[in-house]
Amino acid sequence: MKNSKIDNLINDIMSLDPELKKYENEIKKIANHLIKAKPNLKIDSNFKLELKNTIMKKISNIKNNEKEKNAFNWGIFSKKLAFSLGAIALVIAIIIPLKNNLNKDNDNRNIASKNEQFIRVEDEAFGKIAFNESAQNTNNGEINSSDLAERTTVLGMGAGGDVSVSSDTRILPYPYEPVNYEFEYIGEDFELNGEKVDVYKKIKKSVEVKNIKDAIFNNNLSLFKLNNFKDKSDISNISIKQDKKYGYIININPQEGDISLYANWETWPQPFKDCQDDACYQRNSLSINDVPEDNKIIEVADKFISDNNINLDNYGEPVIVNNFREMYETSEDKSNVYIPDQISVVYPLILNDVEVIDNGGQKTGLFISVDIREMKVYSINNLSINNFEVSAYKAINDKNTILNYLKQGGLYPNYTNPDASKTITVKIGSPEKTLVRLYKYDNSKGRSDEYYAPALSFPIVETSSENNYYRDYIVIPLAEDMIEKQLDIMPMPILEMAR
Amino acid sequence: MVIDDRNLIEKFKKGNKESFSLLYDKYVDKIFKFIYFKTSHRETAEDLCSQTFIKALEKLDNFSFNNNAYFSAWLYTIARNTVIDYYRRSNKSKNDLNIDDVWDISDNTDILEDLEFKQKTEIIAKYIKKLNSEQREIIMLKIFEDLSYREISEILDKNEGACKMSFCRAIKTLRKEMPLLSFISLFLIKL
Repeated sequence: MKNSKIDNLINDIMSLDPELKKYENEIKKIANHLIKAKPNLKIDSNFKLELKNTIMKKISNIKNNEKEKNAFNWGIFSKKLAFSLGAIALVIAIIIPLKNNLNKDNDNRNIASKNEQFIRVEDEAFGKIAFNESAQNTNNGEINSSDLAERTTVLGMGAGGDVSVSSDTRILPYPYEPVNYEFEYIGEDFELNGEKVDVYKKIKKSVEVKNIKDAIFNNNLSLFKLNNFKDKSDISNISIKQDKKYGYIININPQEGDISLYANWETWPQPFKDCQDDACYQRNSLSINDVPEDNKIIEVADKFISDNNINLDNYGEPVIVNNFREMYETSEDKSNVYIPDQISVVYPLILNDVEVIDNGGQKTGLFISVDIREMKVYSINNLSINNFEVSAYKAINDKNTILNYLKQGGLYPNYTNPDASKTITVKIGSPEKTLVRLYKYDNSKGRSDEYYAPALSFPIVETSSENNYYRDYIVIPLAEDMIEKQLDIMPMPILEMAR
Repeated sequence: MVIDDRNLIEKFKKGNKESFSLLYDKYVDKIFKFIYFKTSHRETAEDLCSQTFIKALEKLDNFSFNNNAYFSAWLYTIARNTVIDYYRRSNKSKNDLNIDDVWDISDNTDILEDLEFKQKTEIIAKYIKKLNSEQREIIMLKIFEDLSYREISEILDKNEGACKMSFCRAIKTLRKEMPLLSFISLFLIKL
């Protein structure tokens, strides 16, 4: 809050009670001290990204639902009837002998394909691939500067945790000691090869569920002649709920060929179920001593994979995502560090022998979370069929261009805070060649497309001990189009670009 | 350039649902902090923050700028009600729970690594608890969240004048209850 605002605030008070005028200085100091006492609370950047992803998925669902409504011309039926139809379809999907049908599929082919399929298409076949452009811009690559807000809405969409620049700017310490960052490359010399790089686009491949569809449509419903709607209908989602101890909820998206699995929490032990006070929460919370060794957690994930025929041909060695350990190690008051009940294991996706990272530089692929109280798999995400189209794009082959992008903060440029009291130098080490997964929202389809592009991942090797930089890596895609467009845009125009 | 809530919401209503992501970017930090002050528990605050934004997304089509209503106030109201619902659910025995007293319910017992937060909230709590629940909330919204009286009045469903008066009384109480020197010295020790 600036002084002028404090003055306004004081003026308001004085106008309501003129007697307070004689205490003006005292009240100003109280207001100042209250403002200074505002804790410098930081939101967890991972949480923020996950929630954004959840919201974007929900938005995608909303749009899909609206499209489905339009496609079925629900206007001729009552809303109540439409809901009934949905409910009936879901019930049928669950009660029909689904298991047999799925097993039949599995006999012929694992859900995750044994081998990746790559289909070579012509150069730049995916149009402009700056991942923050809307689909309408893909034909001419022009950015309509008058519609900044609309374009920036597509930043960071999709299921993979893309970071929007506007989110990043808010991770700057607030409101005390705002700082700016500058980046200094201290790594070794590196090489850039070739005029073009291959960009991969994931193909949404359907899983065949014809038997299920037939079973649903051929069922004799006394309420509704469902079969009338069979023409050009597809099953977009199947949800299966296991009602037994340690049961799961399995969601199958046959159109996009992916499956997710979560614990049906109602059937799992709930350690905090009867807690009425915080002491109970504390008593039942896990401590660092309760966390098993990494290999024990990985064993649980491996066994689940083996028991359920999940094919790992396209995935690398599993690693534990143990951010909480870092937090624990660096925390002064270790008793207050939250130890999660579930810990994730990631099996990194490997395409053409190159490991895939997310846009924050972290390994990404098949995620399996293990409940360490029960030592059972709690959830699985990103289990899907890996088929891709491959198209060549113009590469950045000038090292200085890369270093220039690096100074700006890479894929997600940093912005200067005009009120910053100091500038922190972040030192960057030698890069690794990798593939970065990015999402681009396609407005016309109402969904995100998934791309994998060659990139350099630069590790943050040194920063001030007082001001830890919130990123571990700076990622720069090597497809020229991807990063050029990204840096053209000022997604959070409240602050200025750094340099 | 300031992001215009009205413009984004109009786009959202016309079918550009992705506009919501900019509203999310703009408000997520504020809403999280607002909830954290009321729960003092990071995981709970994250859960309630998620619920707040999902509810906002689902109900945004119903939001109207009638009478120049503020989107920010509407969002804070959802967050506030979500916190109240949370306490109602988790304190089933406390049927007589005063919904304005959520500040008091939390005792900062699960602050994570943020020692600074704990220290500061302890100091603030010591003095602010001398205020009534409405005054506390207004102090928080005005000083910490930097909201206008108009926005505060919408969140608390009071009229603007009453909110101003309540804030004024709160400051007067603080001035009387806290000898300034000791107040300052407390902060000098802690900051």
